[in-house]
Amino acid sequence: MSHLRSYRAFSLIETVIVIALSAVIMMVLGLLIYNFNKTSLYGQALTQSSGSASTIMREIESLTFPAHAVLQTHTFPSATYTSTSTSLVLEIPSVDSSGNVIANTYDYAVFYSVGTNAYRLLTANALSKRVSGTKQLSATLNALTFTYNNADFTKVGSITIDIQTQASAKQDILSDHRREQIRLRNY
Amino acid sequence: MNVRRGFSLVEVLVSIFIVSVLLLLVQAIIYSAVLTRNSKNQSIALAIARNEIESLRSNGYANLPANGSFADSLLSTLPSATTTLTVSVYNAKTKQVTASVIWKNSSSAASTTVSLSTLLTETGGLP
Repeated sequence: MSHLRSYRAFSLIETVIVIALSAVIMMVLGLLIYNFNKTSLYGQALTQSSGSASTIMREIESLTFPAHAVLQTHTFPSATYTSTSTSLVLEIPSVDSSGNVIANTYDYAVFYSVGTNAYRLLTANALSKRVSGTKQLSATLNALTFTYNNADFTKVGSITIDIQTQASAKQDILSDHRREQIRLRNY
Repeated sequence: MNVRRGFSLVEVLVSIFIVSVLLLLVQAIIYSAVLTRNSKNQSIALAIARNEIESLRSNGYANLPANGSFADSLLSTLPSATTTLTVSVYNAKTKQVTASVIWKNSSSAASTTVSLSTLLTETGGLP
């Protein structure tokens, strides 16, 4: 008996049960991996849309609060930018490395968007502690709108900023909306 | 005798271990999605409170409203959100303003609050 048993193969019913069990386990694992993938893509898109909306808002705040005026137009080394409902040109008093304002010296910044990308271009005075350069703030922009409290740019003291970002995760579209009114502290 | 043998203890333990690891994995996935959504709501609530404080500051000490609530265009993007605004006297020439945003995360029955507080003085504010 024991000699026979040790050479016994699987019976049909055992094989069928094993195949059925492995099929069920495979299905559960497949579903798990599919869900995991979907959730992580969703989370990534959510972070992209809401994270980049916050980034744009913080960056605009950090330069608009110290700004002295909104300029209708300014010529930067690379190009000339105009303040419109989709771009914002700021004149900001320069500050030196110890945080003191340098009289009659200004840094210039523009916020603008190209397609779904939002950029900040800053040209700092040589004495200023701010660093010149272009910085990409978002790659998931849907709409960026500036509303000024006065049609005359020399009289603009507060700006309403409306940011909408959008990222897609497979068939889901995730959007984020921020709106803030910022007053120029040095106006 | 050998044919009627059941599962051994080790086999049962190993299968329980595998099943529990799978369940933990599922739980972690669900929880991470909930966390991401909650943190998005929190950052929106913070933006609303910030904006309110900023607008009160720019309107000046003389125009501070009474206690109550405030409106914001982003409130509708938070689930069942309400706001409260508290203006209290801090000293003779200073008032303390607290703006709170209260909303309900879809995952929990309890509501979550974000509040920001600042002092506004009668003199030395924005022009």
